[in-house]
Amino acid sequence: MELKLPESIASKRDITRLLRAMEAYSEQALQRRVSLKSAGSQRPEPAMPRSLGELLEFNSLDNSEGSFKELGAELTRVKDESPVVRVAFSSYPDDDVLRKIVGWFRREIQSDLLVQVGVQPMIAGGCVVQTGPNRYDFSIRSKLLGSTKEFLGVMQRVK
Amino acid sequence: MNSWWYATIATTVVALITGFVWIALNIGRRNSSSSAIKSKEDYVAESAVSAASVFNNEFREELKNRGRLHFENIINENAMFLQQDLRLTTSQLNDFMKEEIKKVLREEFATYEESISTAKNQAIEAIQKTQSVIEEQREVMQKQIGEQLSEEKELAVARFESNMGQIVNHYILDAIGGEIDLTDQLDYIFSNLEENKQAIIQDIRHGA
Repeated sequence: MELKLPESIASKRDITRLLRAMEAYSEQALQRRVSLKSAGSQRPEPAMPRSLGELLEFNSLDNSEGSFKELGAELTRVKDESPVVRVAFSSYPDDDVLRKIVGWFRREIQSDLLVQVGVQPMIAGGCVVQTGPNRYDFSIRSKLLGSTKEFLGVMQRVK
Repeated sequence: MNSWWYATIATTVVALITGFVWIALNIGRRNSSSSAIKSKEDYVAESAVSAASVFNNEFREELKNRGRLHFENIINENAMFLQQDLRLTTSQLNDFMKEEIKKVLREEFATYEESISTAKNQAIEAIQKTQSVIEEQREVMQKQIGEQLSEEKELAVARFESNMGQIVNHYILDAIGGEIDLTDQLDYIFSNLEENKQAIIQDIRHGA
């Protein structure tokens, strides 16, 4: 099965959280089934975490045990083997921005790419992308500090 | 001096001879009255007796005294002349020595003054040369210092402007850091990502 990751699942931590949520949901679902069989009373259906629901819907899967098992294995594989890109912003992006960023990376670079987001307030704006040993500085800080000559030109004009 | 001496001696001798002759004549006149014609031998004998009687001890003594006296007078006169001469000579010698000493001293002082003057002129010349050299060096140093100061001023201004740029940039970063909404930055971020897309893809493919 080729797992398609939704934009809400960006990083390894998201996948780990999702796997835990899946495990918890599976456990609750199992207990519900067991209680139904043994005590005759039905426990309420466990609430599906939104990220899990989104993942299932994104991959057109149901919430069966078989699907979960397959999904779990695939998620583990992605977590262990997929490439990771680190992106730092001046402040933590909201969900909307994060989805757009992750969406771009998965659309333009690689579909199973994981994006780990960090915060560096000193960059003031823009972002810094790190792909292993290489670093791409798209920050406003680097723009400002690299434009000293322009600044001097401005000062000369002001004089 | 010698001429005087000779003249004196000659005068003395003439006087003696004259005296002898006069005495001889007187004696002859006395003897001539006693005998009219005498023989040659008589005359010779008479003359011998006359000479002997004339040149007796008293006569000799008289001659000696006169001669002594005359000699003493001559000696005294000559001594006086000698003394005068010596005085004159001494005086002339003194004057000559004075003149010579004055001349030598004048020459020496003139030479000394000349050497002093030469030394003074040389010292003045050396001082003037030193002064002109110092003046030249001062101008060169002034120019060099001026150029260095100007360079340092330019460096300081450049450093200031560079630092000012960094200070302003840091201020801007501090002021706006975290204030710009990420949503507004998305276009800027995506445009940069697009520009470097291929590089990022290569990094991912080669095991980022």
